[in-house]
Amino acid sequence: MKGLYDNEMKLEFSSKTCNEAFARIAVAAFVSQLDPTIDELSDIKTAVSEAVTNSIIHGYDDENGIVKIEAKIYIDTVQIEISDNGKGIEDVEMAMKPLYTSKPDLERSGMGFTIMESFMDEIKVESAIGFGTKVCMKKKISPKTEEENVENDIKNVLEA
Amino acid sequence: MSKSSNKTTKLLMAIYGKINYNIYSLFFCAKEEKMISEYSKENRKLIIRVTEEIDQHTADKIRRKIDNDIEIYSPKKVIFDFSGIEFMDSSAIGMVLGRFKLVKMLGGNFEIINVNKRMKKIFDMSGVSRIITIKEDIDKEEEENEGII
Repeated sequence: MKGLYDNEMKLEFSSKTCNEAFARIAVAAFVSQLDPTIDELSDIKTAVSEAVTNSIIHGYDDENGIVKIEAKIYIDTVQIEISDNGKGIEDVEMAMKPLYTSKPDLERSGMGFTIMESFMDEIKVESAIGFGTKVCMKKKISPKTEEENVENDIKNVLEA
Repeated sequence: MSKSSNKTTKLLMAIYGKINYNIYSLFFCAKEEKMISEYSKENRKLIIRVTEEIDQHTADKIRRKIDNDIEIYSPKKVIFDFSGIEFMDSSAIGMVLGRFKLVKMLGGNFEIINVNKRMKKIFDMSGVSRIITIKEDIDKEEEENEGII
């Protein structure tokens, strides 16, 4: 049976900070089939990294748990859902304010949600106390012609 | 360039950072090394080169190492060099700000160099760039002047 989405994947891993790199690289590899630019790919990697960090250090408070990532592709849009069954967020609006952090002792800057908002097209946060948090992000990958691809690659090499 | 080979290139570039680091650790047997620090005695300058993508996990390790170095040398100037990495998330903001405070408390100067466009954006958003000097590269002229003094 053909699903609603063109392609999808699910990923579950332990809430350990050492899995952050794995999570963002796995999502980036999945998204790469849409032929994104390096910039778009880095945007997604940064946003995923922020959301996963939040789940691990805020949701689970460094205790054992499972972080879930679901990524779906629909035509040229990628939707990434990152959820945990942690303690949940009391006041989502407050948590999404720039520079607000509940853990200043860990040198957290409170910029996680702000970065997700500015690097992705759309973000939705659902949270229930004691049940967990779900962050749903969307980003449209701009379609590119072969020429643009080559141009972008040259630009990236020059910048590097 | 065919379309499929193009995609493969991108995929490789996405995981390049990781591979790059792994190759590095193979040759130098420095698996736990997230950064290299250089200290020059004459002008009491500590240069920190980060070599792995900064996230919450690596930030903790880098933090411990740098704090140790700063305590040992109590440098007059600390330079954070980001040329070795392509990616960082918001954990880097807290890490950099924390080190900045520590260095200032000890009466030193603090500088960030070689950040790419994305890192600059993150530092701008969080207001770090208003507090800390961000430069393109090590200031050669300044370095020479320091040598004379």
